[in-house]
Amino acid sequence: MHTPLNSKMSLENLSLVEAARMIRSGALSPVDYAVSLLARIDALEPRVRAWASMDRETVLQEAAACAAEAAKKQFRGPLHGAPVGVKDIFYTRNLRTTMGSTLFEDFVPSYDARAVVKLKEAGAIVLGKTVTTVFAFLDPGPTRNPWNLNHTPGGSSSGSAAAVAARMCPAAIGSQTVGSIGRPAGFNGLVSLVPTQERISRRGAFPLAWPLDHVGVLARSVADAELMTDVMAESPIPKRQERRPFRIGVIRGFFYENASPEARLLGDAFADKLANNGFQVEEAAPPSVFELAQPILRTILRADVAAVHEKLFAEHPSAYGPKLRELIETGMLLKATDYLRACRLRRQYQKEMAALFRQFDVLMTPAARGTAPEGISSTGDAVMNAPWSLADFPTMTIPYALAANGLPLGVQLTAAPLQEDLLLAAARRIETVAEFAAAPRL
Amino acid sequence: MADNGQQISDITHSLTAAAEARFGKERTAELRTEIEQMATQLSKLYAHAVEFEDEP
Repeated sequence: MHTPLNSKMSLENLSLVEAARMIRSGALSPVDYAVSLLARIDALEPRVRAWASMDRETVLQEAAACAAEAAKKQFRGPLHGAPVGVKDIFYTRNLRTTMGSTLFEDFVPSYDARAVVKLKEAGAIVLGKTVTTVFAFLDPGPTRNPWNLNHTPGGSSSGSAAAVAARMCPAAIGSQTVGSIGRPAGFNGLVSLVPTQERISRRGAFPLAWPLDHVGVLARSVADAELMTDVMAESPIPKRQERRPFRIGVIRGFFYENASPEARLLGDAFADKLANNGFQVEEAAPPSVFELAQPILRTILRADVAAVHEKLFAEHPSAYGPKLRELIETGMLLKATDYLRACRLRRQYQKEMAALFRQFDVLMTPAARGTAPEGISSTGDAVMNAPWSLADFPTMTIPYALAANGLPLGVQLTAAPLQEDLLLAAARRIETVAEFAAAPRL
Repeated sequence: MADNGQQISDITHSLTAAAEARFGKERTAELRTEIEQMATQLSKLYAHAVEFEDEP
């Protein structure tokens, strides 16, 4: 099976849903698709540096096997023959997994992370491992933002975000402990989905902080993010079609105090646009416990990171970047009673924050302070994402505008725990209002 | 490192002593800003009442 020549010209622009549909109908060869994406990577990778490891031979072998099966109308699952990126903290069998650290530069796992198993069972091909910041914290990798190579792509899912934005792959998986998916999605004009923690297994994903770690998706459309999440989910996400107007609560306060003037202005204009397109948009005010989000999160984060890294850090302190080292060391100073108090307050925080959803279907806030900061020595600030990672509420990022500097801006949508169906239903409609069609010029 | 009602300065002092014992004075001095932030965060946690109604 061969793909018509005119289609090959823009295979990298196919959405995941389109590619999967074309492979199933026989209009697209998985081999042609993989070859096209590898060529795109060859052309752009020296500038973007999104990939940590890749096994081209295996990718092409898998694509050929998928093509042969498709010719016989045999399909492994809904992602049959579709190449995806995998953040380099997820174990991949026979494929190097470094966690962004020199300590693991030669580590080749003997098994796949559960999320990777689910992707492969659905027919996806692991195109390669995408760059993570060191141990998925703040010390950055070499990846640059495809929209402007002088800017950070964000982190810690830096390579996943950059690869999807640069059309090197249609979708990728990432992880978020504080803001490692939502923020890079905002910086790269992408759609992201971080479901409730229990939706996608973290088995085989190197932890940063167990109670806060989430597995999620970076893609270029809501439909693609939904498809990826569906195949990785441990419990099915119901399909929801709402005809009634969605009730959107816009939280300004804290979020606007931390946003750039342009993000505030464009965010308000987008909220007005939604109100003019049938959404019920009102101001939402979080409860007073919201003020404790940062102290609770930082206390849990410190203690858990120290626990994860205690042995490795003692043996190889010089292999750690300054930000992670600082976090581990201060985490070692905490008492068990401090940690347990933070955990109890987190329960209280979750309960009181969930009450917001009595009035609203989804909450809307900026996905980041503003556009991607200049330089790659920092991956930006996760302040907009942290309150929701702490709450373990599912979130999505939807791109909606280009700022004056030509970089994208995104909004962050949040729903009640395990309400991914409602979140996706709202996101589908919000995406059609946003009409964001811009792409990086590389 | 904190008990109910402790002041930030008390927590900072206590954390600094623990850091010096574990990492030495030089490294503790490098960690000063982070220790001060941590003390502020802990003081906020201890200033807030914990509800026990959700406990199993």
